[in-house]
Parts: sequence; structure tokens; C-alpha cells
Amino acid sequence: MGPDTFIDLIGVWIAALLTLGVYSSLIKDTFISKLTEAVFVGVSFGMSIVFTYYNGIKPKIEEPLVRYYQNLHVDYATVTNAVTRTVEKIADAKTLPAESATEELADEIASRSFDTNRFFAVLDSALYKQTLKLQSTNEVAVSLQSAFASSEINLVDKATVMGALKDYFQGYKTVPTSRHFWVLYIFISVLLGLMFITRFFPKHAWLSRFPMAYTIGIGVGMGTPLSFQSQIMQQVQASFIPMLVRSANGIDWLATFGNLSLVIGTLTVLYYFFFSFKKEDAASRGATKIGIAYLMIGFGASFAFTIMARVSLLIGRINFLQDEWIQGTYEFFKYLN
Amino acid sequence: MNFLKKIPPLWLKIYRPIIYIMTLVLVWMGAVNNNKLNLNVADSTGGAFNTIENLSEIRKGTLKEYEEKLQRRLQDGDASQAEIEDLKAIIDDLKHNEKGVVLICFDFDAGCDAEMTPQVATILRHCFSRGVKVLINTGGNVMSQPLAQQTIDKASKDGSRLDPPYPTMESGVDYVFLGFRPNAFQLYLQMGESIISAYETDYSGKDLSTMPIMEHIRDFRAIDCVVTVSAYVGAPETWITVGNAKFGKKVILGGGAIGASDYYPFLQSGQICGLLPGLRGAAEYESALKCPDIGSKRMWSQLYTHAFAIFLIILGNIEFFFSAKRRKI
Repeated sequence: MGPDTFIDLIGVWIAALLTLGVYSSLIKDTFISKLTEAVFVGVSFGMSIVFTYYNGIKPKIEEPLVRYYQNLHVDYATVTNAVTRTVEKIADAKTLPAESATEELADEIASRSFDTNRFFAVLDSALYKQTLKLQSTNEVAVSLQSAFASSEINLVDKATVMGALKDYFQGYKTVPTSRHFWVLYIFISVLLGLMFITRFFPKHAWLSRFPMAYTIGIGVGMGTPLSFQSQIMQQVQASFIPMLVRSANGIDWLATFGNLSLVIGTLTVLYYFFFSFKKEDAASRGATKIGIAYLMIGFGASFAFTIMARVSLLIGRINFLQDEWIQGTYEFFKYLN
Repeated sequence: MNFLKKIPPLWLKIYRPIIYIMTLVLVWMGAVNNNKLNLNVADSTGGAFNTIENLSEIRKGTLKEYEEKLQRRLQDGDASQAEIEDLKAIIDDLKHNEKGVVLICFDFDAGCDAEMTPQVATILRHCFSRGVKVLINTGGNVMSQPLAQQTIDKASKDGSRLDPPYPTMESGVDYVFLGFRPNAFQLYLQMGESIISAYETDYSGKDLSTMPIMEHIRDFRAIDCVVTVSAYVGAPETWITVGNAKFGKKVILGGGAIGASDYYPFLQSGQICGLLPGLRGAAEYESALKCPDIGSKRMWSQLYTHAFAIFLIILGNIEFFFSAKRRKI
């Protein structure tokens, strides 16, 4: 629970002092409380930039492009030799794919005839992976072994397998044609992303409208039908409920009251937000008042939950100060002595 | 109520610090209280617990649906070879991992860690204890990653207290942490096509296609339930839309207490099968799991501070009542 190393201890102390710094704003706004706020915003923003680079830009743009460039310039013979050696090894072993399958499945696979198309598809899936580094014979071997292990192809007849492999190499390219189009797509995406930055230059700011339009268009196009279904249709559907709930023993009064309450609440709250005409008669005013009462009950529930949420956060900090800071520091120095 | 007029000005200056100090003291009293707190499990939390508990039954039902669909397509005779192959492949996938597969989505940052981590930690332990395979990703907030990694590391080694207990869970075999990728909505839709192509590598950079856990989990069809633990109002709708409306999966929502009241309508409509509201949800889940942990412990502080808040509300109302009467006079 507490700090294990001296560096951890320093981290815990910084966190504890920053926590106290934030809470000092309860007394009044001081330099310390402002400093902690600024540190929080700065650290969060800085970390999110780094995380976004490592989880978005690096794996989705940088690494695939580097891999594409490397695979484009890899020695063709080196790759084909590595593939031949690995496939030969797999065929020699004669244990795949039975090693990860049941006996029945292994027997069934052994009874199948060799399927060239399926063999080519497995080779494609293993060799055209975006992440695969063709320069590394080890990576090629692992990729092939993993693909064949789950392929359920009968590779027992080595001569047929090696013959099919030769046929495969006749049409094999280290980088498939589709990958060139994919790189073009990446460049267009990056260009659209960079266009956002033109917002900083008033003269060229109009360019940022293109990625904005693209993003909003995609979001609206993909999201609207699904959101309409899940947030409107299904919710409306759920409000069509029986006003009188029957059970085995007659009428279930509690459920009936619940359903009536839901229907009345839905209608009166909707009516409250209907501003097209003046609500002057007694019935309208009554319905509006019931609607307001429902809204107040809703706000009350939200407020109560807000107290619970805020107290939870306070509990978290108090637990941290007590367990990791005070007790952790005490344990750390006790352990040293 | 003349005494109200006689309240010394000093009191008006110091009543706030007194309330702060009282709250602090009550929270601290809860933190040092090690007694067991008996909690009733609400239907919303019970729904979440039962879904994870009965995951293998849900999976059997899904498998049966696909088998019937395959039979129908074969009888109709108008299905393409690719469609039949695809149905056979998904049936094969569903026959593996018979205890179920869950996708857990972390969507919160350090600011909400105190109320969200207990929820997700106990759900993770529940899944591990029942032999459920777990895929973990992060939602729209990239800052969820370090918190998720920390929680997974802890939960994967923390199986001795559960019934049945579990050994240390292995990454890539029992669970996989997929990490973060930008554009949550589009990403979730892409996961419906292929999880491996959406992520390619796990959080540590290992190739997903070489992991044993991913061998029979290709897309959403092999997943039985989505658990989204989100502290943000508006974010869970994405999973309700994609997970439930698009892919027809069961969705469990672990929410921050602030937004919890917004999501009860989804529970009533059956779009989510369980809702864990803040720390209370975590504590109730721990109770249902019979493994009290940090959530249950923290409920003592909640109890004291809520009693204090109710006392202050009553006091405020009394003061308001008499001051209104005075104004009338």
C-alpha cells in the first residue's frame, strides 16, 4: 500500500502536499491552491498528449508507415527463404494443428484433402500483417506458425505443400497493392488532421472546415440512426406500459402505482416544457405543477447522488493521506531502521 | 425565534469551516472503522452481478441461436458459401470459452478514481473467479490507461479471498488489456468487425493475433457482455448504442454517482441489465460477491457524512421555516 522505494516516497509526499494544497482553497484562494490547480491541469494535459501519441499516432500512423517502407525495401530472397524454411519445418513436424485441437478434430483434419486456396489465404494472413517486420526471419516464422496452428489445414503431404508454396511465390509481393492505397489513405487522414492546425493562422483558417465537416459528417452519419434507435425509440417503447398490472393473486397494486406514476410523470414533465401556448386554465396549471414536482424529485435524486460522489472523492483522498502518506511514511522509515 | 436574530456575527463567519471540519472528522471516523457493514443489494446491482454469474448460460443461448440460424440458412439453400463458413466459424468460437467472455471498458481519470476503481476491481475479481475471459479497453479518455493497468495488475493477483479462489491471472491467456485508441465510437464499431484489426497490439505492444485468448474472440459476436465503467455523463450512451442497439449485447453500466440518476431509464427499458451507482454500487457488488473490500469499507464514511448532511438539511429547513414565518409577521 505504502511507498516501497525512496522515489515512491517522494511521489507520495508530492501527492499529499498537492492534495493539501487543493484543500487549502476551502479557507481562501491562496498561491498554493492556484499552483496546485495549475499543476493538475498542466500535468493532465501533458500526459494526455504523450499517451495519445503512444496509443494513437505511433501504432496507427508512425509504425505502420515505417514498417511499410522497410517491407518495400526488404530483400525478396531473404523473405522467401525464411518462409520456405518455416513451412518445411511445419510440414516436417506433422503435429499441427492437432497439438491445440481435440482428437476428433485432428482425425477430421487428417482426413481432409489439401486445400490450396485455404493454404494461400493462411499465407496471406501471416505475411501481409501490417505489424509484421519481414526483415526479421524470427517474426516471419512466429507469424506463420501461429497462422497455421489455428488454420486446421492438412499439411501432412510435404511434397504437395512445398509445390503449392512455389506457386504462391509466383504471385507474391512483399507489399500487396492494397497496402499502397492504404498508405495513400493514411496520408490523406494525416493531411486532414493537420488542417485543424490552420485555425491558428487566420488567413488559412478556412481550411480547417474540411476536416471539421468530415468529422461531423462521419459522426452524424454513423451515430444518428443508432442513437435514434437506442435513445429515442427504445425509450419511448419502454414508456408504453400497462396501467393495470395483474399478478397471480389479482392486481399488483405496487406495480400499478409505479406504472401510473411513470406515465403521469412523463406526460406532465413533457407538458411543462411545452411553451407554444399560455397555460392559464386550472387543468394546465395543475399539470404543470405536477410536472415541476416530478422535476424537483429528479433534481433531488441527482443532488443526493452528487453528495455521494463528492464524499467518495473526499474519502479517497483521506484514505490516501492516512494509508499511504502518514502510515506509509512511518512504515518506510520503520523498515529502514 | 428571537434567538436567530441574536446569532453572533462570528458564527456566520466560522460556520463553513466548522462544517468542513465536521465532514473531515466524520470521513476519517469512517476510514478507521473496521466493522462489517451489512448492505442490501439493490436490483440494479443485483442485475449486474447475476449477469456475470450466469454468463455461461447466456453464451449457451447465443450458441443455440447461431446453430438454429445455420440450420435455417442451410435449409433455405440460398446462403452463400462465405456466409455458411462465417456462421460455422462463429459457432466454433462460441464453443470455446464456455464460461463466457466480457469486455470491460475503463472510462475515468484520476479525479474519479476513488469511486470508480472499487467498482471495476470487484467486477474484475468476479470475472476471474468464475473463469470468464476478460478483454479490457479504455473509452474516450486516454488518462484511464495507467489507472486501468494498476487495477488489472492488482485484481489479477488478488484471488485468494474469493470463493472459488483463482491463481494469478495471465495476460494474453486469461485477460488482455487492449489499451487506448482514439475515436471511441468509430473504434467500437470497428471492434464489431474485427477486434484484432481495431487494436493490432495490446497495451504493452504485443501482437494480439499471437495471443491464445484472441484465438476464438474475433469480433463482438464472441463477447457475451460489455461492462462500461464511466465517470462521465454522456459517455455510457456510446456503449448502450453500439453494444446493445447495434450488436445486441448485454450491457452493464458502472457509473459515477453524479450521472447515475440519468441512467435508470435505460435499466427500466432493459437496454442495460445492471447499474452500479458510484461507491454504493461497488459496495453492494462486493456484498453480493461475499468479498467485502475497499467499497464496503468506505461506506462507513458515506453513512456518517450522509447522516450529517440530513441533519444539516433538517436544520436549514427549520431555520427557513421560522425565518419565513418571521418575514410574514
